[in-house]
Amino acid sequence: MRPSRRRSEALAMTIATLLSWVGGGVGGDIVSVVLAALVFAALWALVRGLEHV
Amino acid sequence: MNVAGWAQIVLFLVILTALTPLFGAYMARVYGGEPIVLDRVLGPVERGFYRLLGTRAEAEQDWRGYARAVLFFSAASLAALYLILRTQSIHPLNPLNLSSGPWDLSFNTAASFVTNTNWQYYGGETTMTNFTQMAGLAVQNFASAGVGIAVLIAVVRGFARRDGSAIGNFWYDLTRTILYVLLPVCIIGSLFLVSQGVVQSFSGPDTFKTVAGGTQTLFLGPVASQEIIKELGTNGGGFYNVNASMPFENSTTFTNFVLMLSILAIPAGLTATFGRMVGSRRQGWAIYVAMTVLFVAGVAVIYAAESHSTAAMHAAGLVGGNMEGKEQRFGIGSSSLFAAVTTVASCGAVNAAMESLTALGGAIPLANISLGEVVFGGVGSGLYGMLLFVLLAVFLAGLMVGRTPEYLGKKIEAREIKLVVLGTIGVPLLVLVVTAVAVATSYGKASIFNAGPQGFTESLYAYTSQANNNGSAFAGYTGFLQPNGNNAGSLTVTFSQLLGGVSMLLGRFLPMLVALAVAGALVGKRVTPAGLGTMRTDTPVFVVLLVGTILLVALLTFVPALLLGPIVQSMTNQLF
Repeated sequence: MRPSRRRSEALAMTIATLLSWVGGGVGGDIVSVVLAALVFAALWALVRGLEHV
Repeated sequence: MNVAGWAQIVLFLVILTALTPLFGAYMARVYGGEPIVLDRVLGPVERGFYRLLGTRAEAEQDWRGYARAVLFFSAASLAALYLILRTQSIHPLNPLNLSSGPWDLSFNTAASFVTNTNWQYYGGETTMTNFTQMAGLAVQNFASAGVGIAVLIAVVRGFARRDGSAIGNFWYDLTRTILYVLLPVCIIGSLFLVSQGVVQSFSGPDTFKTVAGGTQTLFLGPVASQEIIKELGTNGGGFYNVNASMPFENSTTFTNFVLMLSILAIPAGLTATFGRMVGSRRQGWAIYVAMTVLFVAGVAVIYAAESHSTAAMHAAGLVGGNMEGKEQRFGIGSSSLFAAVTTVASCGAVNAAMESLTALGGAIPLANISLGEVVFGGVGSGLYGMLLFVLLAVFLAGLMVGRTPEYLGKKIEAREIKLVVLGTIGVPLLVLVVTAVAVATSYGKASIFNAGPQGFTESLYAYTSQANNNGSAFAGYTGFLQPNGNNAGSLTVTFSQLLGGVSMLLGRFLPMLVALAVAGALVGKRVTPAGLGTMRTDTPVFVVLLVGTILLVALLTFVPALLLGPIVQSMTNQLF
């Protein structure tokens, strides 16, 4: 088996294992991360905004 | 109502008032860097933390640096807890072989525990592994309580100091809070709870034979260690779904009384800490009295309301008090007191079903939360919220008498008042907007269980509780269904999970950042000596003014919404 194919299979296995840990819904995880990042970015910006009140 | 019920309320107030200066003096020593007994044991641990964090106790921050440290720590906490929740199937201490939580439930729960809210869309014993309970949720109970108290101490320094721009070091305040305040009390408290029969075990579920001869499976776990910080840190999230009404979590009337005291001990004690740090203990007592007045009024109304039967009881020909949803062990008096304690304190733990309170009895917890969780409030967050109201009251008084408002000798100017307005109306606006979205959209309606005013009250309560970081709930409002147990096949209402999660984050950090900004604006101001024209802020007159200001803001904001829910329900003969 070619090294690149072995790497691909290993990657696929890793992703499948990770998915089994979290019980699916990886798309939701992305939504969670984006949402949390947006909220904290807004709060970070608020610190700067409050300086000018 | 009976004498025993009132006696318990009076005894509670007497002990709380006696504990306040003791706790207050101890915490003032902790944050003042004065020698304390625990230094010898915990000093090396504390210094180890600073080395690990790469900080020094004397390296102080201005309000912006402090605020950014708070946000950084909280964002990291959120990420860590989310990861634990999403991978709990592979963790140890999982006797029920539970799967990981759904992503949206995990987002809501992570936001909930990081913000000291502990709103729970799930049932603890059937959803979370022991590892998640201990390494995830209980850790955040300590951390989020620590953040609240640390921020308060920084805000108080803003009032107390007279030059410079520094308000303390967040990592120093957080470390000392957890090591010297929360941990020692929790160790003693956990042992006390275990001695009273509260469960502390890794053995998993056990099957018991019931009195009637049947069998019942009961879940065991590390409950006592989580129970005490849940109350002391005003977190509120129960190990069990039924929270502190479960005998394994709250075993006797004695534990019930001690748990209620532990909810208010730190928020009340911090008023005395404030008095000591600003150099006038009377200032701290004035705030304590204002809080107590509002608290006692709430307890009295709940107790009176619950002592009468509901419309449904009338229809069924029943007389006497409303015992629906209440533990026989605790009765109406103790359940009413607990309901008031847990909602003034942004704790959210319950020993009775809030949903089953009478319309008027249920309106008070909702009103308590609507006051902005400043009547004692959450650990730290309650007092810095109250200090914003103090500045507003001082400003209103200044307008009435035509003088420049000042507090503790510092002039309160336009910048401070703009910030105060942001801090006091920001969360109420958030509550009203998200509640409107929740009841007006089909996505939000999926969470409402009951129709009519009760259903509206459930929705209003859900978002008032989440945005004000309380965490108690009217049980009918749901975002998580678990038909098969084991988290398998569970269904979530994603809209409510996300809306609630964002509400908790904004409701926690908006007032927090504003309070830090106010501290930053005040810290460098010179102190003007009190003169004949100075309005005193440690007198009964000021206490009345402060109480009036809080009520005025809350009434103007929430009465229309309360009218649509519990008030209209109390005027009808609806059977729920």
